[in-house]
Amino acid sequence: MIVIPCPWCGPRDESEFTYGGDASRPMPSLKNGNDQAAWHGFVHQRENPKGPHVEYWYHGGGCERWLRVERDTITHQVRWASDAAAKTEPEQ
Amino acid sequence: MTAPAQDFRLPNGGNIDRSKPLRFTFDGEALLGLAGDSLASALLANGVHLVGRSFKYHRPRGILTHGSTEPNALVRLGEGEQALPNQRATEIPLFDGLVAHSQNAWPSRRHDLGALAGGAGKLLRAGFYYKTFLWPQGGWPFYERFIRRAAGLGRPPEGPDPQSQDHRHGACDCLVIGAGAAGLHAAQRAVAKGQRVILCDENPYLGGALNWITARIDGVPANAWTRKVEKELTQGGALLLANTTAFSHQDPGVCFLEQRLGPYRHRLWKITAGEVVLASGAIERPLVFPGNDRPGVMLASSVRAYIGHYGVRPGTEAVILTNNDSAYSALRDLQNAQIPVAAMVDLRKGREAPIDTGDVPFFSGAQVVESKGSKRLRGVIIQDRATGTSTEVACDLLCLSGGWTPSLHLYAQRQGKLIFNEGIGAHLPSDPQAPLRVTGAAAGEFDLQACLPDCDVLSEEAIDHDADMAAATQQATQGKAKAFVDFQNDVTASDIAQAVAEGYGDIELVKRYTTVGMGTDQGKTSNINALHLAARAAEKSPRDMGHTTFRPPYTPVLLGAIAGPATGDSLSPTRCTPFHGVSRAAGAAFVTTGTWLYPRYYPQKGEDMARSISREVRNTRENVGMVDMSSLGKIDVQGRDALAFLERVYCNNLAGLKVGRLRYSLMLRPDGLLFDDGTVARLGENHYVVTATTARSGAVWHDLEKLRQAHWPDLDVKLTSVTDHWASLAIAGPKARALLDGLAPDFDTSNEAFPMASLCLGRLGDLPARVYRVSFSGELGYEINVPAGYAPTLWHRLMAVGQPLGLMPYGLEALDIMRIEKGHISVGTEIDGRTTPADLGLARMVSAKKPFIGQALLQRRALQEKNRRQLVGLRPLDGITPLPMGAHITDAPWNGRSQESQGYLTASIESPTLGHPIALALLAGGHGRHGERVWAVSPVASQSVEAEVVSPHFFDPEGGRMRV
Repeated sequence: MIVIPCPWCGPRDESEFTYGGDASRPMPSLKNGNDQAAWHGFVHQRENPKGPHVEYWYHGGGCERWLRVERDTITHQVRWASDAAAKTEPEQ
Repeated sequence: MTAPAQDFRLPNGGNIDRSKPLRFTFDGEALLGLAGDSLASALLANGVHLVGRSFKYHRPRGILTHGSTEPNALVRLGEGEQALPNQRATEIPLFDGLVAHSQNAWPSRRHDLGALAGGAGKLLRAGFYYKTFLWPQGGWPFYERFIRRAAGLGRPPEGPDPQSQDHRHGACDCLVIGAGAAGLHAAQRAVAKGQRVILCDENPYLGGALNWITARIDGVPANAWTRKVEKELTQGGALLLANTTAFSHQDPGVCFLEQRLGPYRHRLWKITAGEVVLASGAIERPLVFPGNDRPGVMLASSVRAYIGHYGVRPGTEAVILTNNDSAYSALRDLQNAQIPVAAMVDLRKGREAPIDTGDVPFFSGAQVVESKGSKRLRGVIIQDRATGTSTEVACDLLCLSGGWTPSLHLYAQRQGKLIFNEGIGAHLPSDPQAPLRVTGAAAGEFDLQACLPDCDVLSEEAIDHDADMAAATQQATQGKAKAFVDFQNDVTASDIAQAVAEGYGDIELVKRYTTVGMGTDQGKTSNINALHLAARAAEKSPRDMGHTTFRPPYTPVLLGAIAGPATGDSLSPTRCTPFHGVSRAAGAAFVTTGTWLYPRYYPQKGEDMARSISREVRNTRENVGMVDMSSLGKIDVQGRDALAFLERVYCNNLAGLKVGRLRYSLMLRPDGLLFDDGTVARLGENHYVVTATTARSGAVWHDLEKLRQAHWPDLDVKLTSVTDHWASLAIAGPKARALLDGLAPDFDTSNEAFPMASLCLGRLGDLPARVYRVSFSGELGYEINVPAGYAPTLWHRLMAVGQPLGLMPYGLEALDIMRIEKGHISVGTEIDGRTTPADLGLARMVSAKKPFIGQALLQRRALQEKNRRQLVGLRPLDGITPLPMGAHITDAPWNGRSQESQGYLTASIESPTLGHPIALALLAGGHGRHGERVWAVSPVASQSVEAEVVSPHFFDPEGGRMRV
């Protein structure tokens, strides 16, 4: 089971969230609309790490905010979660 | 009706309630048991040992164990819809009126024709299904009929489950799995620390063997001590769950439990625990020797349970066969119950009996090489392992102890590492602390005092449980008769040896080749014996063999318990539109699409579906119709950067969109493929409402919010889902304007004041409304949005005004037909996750003047190729034959051979407007192939129809009708 420490709602059960995929790569800027390599990397190239992984989770059953969450893919332990708008990982 | 006396009930003792007799039937025979019995103990009390036939050879089988490890005593519990196959008689608490039947026997378990398979044993040896039935080529369908009939175990229930199964969530600081001595102790310690505790045990009773062993704890008998601790735990706030099996533990702190609330009603628990303590005990192994499977052969520990817990006499004359010290306690229990013991046989050479065996003949360094009897054991032949001297001993009960296997399934599921222990001949946790705490016999601790360090224990139970596995495997390979390793799957010692000889010596291969451990019992009593036999055959150490993988569930789980109450209408929430009530009153037939319950068509008296749909289409094309559009997703977009945001998410240009106008728009995925279509309406300077298709509205909302929040937090834009706020009703048809005029005479509906693709905010009479001039049907059309609560009012007013105009409601089917006639695309058919705007003839919509999501990857070369599958229309050449649904497009009719597909049909209808069949299709290079002849072939329907490729816009291609 995954408990996500939502920055707005506190620690909440995974059943309130929707998984939103890898958050380790920033989306390329639209200004480089023709940069196929950048978009190819963003859309198709994925690490499949064993261990810590930064990913998006949507708190639809709570604050309706998209979060960035670091989850261990082996233990499901979540080290931190921040609002996706914050962009940077929080101070430990 | 009088039931026979329980002739094999001991005069006293046991934890059953002798004042509460319970009636039950087995294979139609009326029998009597007692409250506290299991079905197995009640059968034994009636002298019933033969309970079924084995899977492969149909050999008579009896009750081997007293719990969840049972491989033989599988019965069909109950009848009809309620019947549950493959239930372990040893685990079913007896109840009044219980009905059970034996399995895998015809015509009866006593006279079973399938037993002839025993004679064909040569054919059914290990790996037989990989070797036999291969000849002649093409013969398989012939063999298959017979194999299918013989395969499988048990019959499924005859109808839907009449019970409502249950789900429950639980949370605690400490979950203790197994309520034997070690589990009770762990729970006591946790409660003393003030923790919230859940203690579960698969048996109907807590305490495990404490219920029948003769030990004294803190001065009282072990079972009395157990009742005292149960009471203390409950008072301390612990939740005690009997009849509850922890069957899955894969993620940290999460355990799944199945609680048997009654014979047919189960509850699935998902428990979140701070700590999980595994106190699941150990499983006694049988011994393998020729003829070791006759009814009357039982594990020594189970004999003790039947005597001590159930007050049952499991035989009249016993022999004990062991390779370890623990079985000597069975000797004592048998003697205390005054059941004669004909021989005590210890496989180990030169061993003194650890207790005084009295006048029981004691054979040390001896083995059993043969058994007598068929439907019940009659005797065994004991052979001295050194001299080969044989002695035949009569008995009807043979107590086996082949050593003990710590029950570490959940530990291994949690990725705990196991290490082989030579002494007990089985695996132990390599580290009892990680990833969860293992305690008691599961951790190899068989000393009761050590399990209960806070108590004063007086016990004569063997502390040393080391087993002589070398002697056990040697015995297994004596003689010619079948020596069974896996009773449930009928795997013998020679099958294991054969697998190794044929090169399948890896333990995972031994398992798959012989099917050992692949029954519903998952080899609880057989895996370790198989491991030792395979090691012996491979001349390797068992330590080097490793072990097979432990996978959930620990024991079979009722499928209904996994489904829980979420079945039928309760499977998912049903969404109804604001027009649901008035649609129902208008006689609509409904259909479930996604989560929505939607009006499919509105039949009039005597009409079937096809006639109704056809009438709805014609009426809309000739007069005026109205259709509920409320399930479309509606998102309100506001903010200074609303336009900038929408420009990025839609691929078409929106910069020129004026206030009061709307535009059909396309959304791409980041990989350049079409994601969704809808309208963007500009309500104010910085205020837009966009629609998403019903199917994609959730995904579109998620995506837009993710882009706004995570990727473009700098944009000043807010999104609000207003899907449920607005009820939408589209009116369409040549008389739609007259209808709107009738509804709101002061509303200027002229083409000049209210042209195509414009919108009007305000009132229709006294109803607040947003009216959009749009058309999906291709007719003059308006979409009227009112706050959801006004939906019935709007409906009734339109019907009143529209009656003289011929207004009729139409449903989803007519809507779909009209969009196909127009060649309009739809999500799920043409927008299928593989098409681009250009594929669907919408290339000119894609803006070259601005950046948008999907722009870069839309330019990939593969998406630009000329021969991509492109949207076309198809018309049957003969003008009358419907084109088969889902057909592929080829250059020749179907001839039974494989053909190259040039594409496929996405929609096929008989057009009520045109009077002939039409279809939409995605055809390779289709845009340049109008006028060509192709074949629409459906191998499934054995149909081939020749068709002409045409424009997908079948009806009114210039769109004049909607602009009038």
